[in-house]
Amino acid sequence: MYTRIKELRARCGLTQAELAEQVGVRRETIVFLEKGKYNPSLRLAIQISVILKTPINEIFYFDDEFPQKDVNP
Amino acid sequence: MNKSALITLEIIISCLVLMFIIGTFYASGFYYDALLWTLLVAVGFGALYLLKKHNTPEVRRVIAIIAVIVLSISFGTILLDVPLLPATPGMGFTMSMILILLHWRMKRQGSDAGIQDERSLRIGTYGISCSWYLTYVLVIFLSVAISFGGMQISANTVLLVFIIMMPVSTILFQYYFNQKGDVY
Repeated sequence: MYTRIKELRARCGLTQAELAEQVGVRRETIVFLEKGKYNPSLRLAIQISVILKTPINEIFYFDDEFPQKDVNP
Repeated sequence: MNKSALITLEIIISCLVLMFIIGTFYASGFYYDALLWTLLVAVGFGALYLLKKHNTPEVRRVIAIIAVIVLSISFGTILLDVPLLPATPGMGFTMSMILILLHWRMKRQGSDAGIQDERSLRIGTYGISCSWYLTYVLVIFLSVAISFGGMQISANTVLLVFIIMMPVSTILFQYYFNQKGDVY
């Protein structure tokens, strides 16, 4: 799994600790999320997407996917 | 839970532990080993409770001091020709190792260690599950070895192995998953 959390977090001017505090998790969890080593729950993914003001499918994507920037339902 | 409710709960738990210790002492016919074993188990539970609720440098120091005291008593008892409390060395070593491991683990945790987020809960649960499976495999191995292999092992040794193995393997599994990032 890949994530764009690091990039989007930097864009929002948030540190790992600040993002962790806002979503109610430990900073370590954000570290592993950014490395793509941790699969978050749907609740956490939604919380992150709300704080980073970006749709979930633009934050998380899997090995067999490309970043879905142009997804139109 | 608010602070006064937490303090009430702590007092109730302490009273129950104290009653249990006194009860065990009386039930065993004033047998000091029973008292010591129960006290050490109570110390272990107390340390685990502190680890969960109040992870501060002071608490870490207290746990380390208790571990050193228990270890010293264990060494002291071993040096005696006729140990006053025969159960002391084995149980003491086990408990002090667990306390030292707890202290080390608490020391490694950061300021946000008190937060039980989904990842730490998942790793905690999975670590305990793996430890349970390992214990189960060991029970099967021991039962086969004793029943068919003619292995001779005392109940005390088996208990000691489980007392050491279960918490240590849980901590090691949790450490491994924590380094890995996730349980999958």
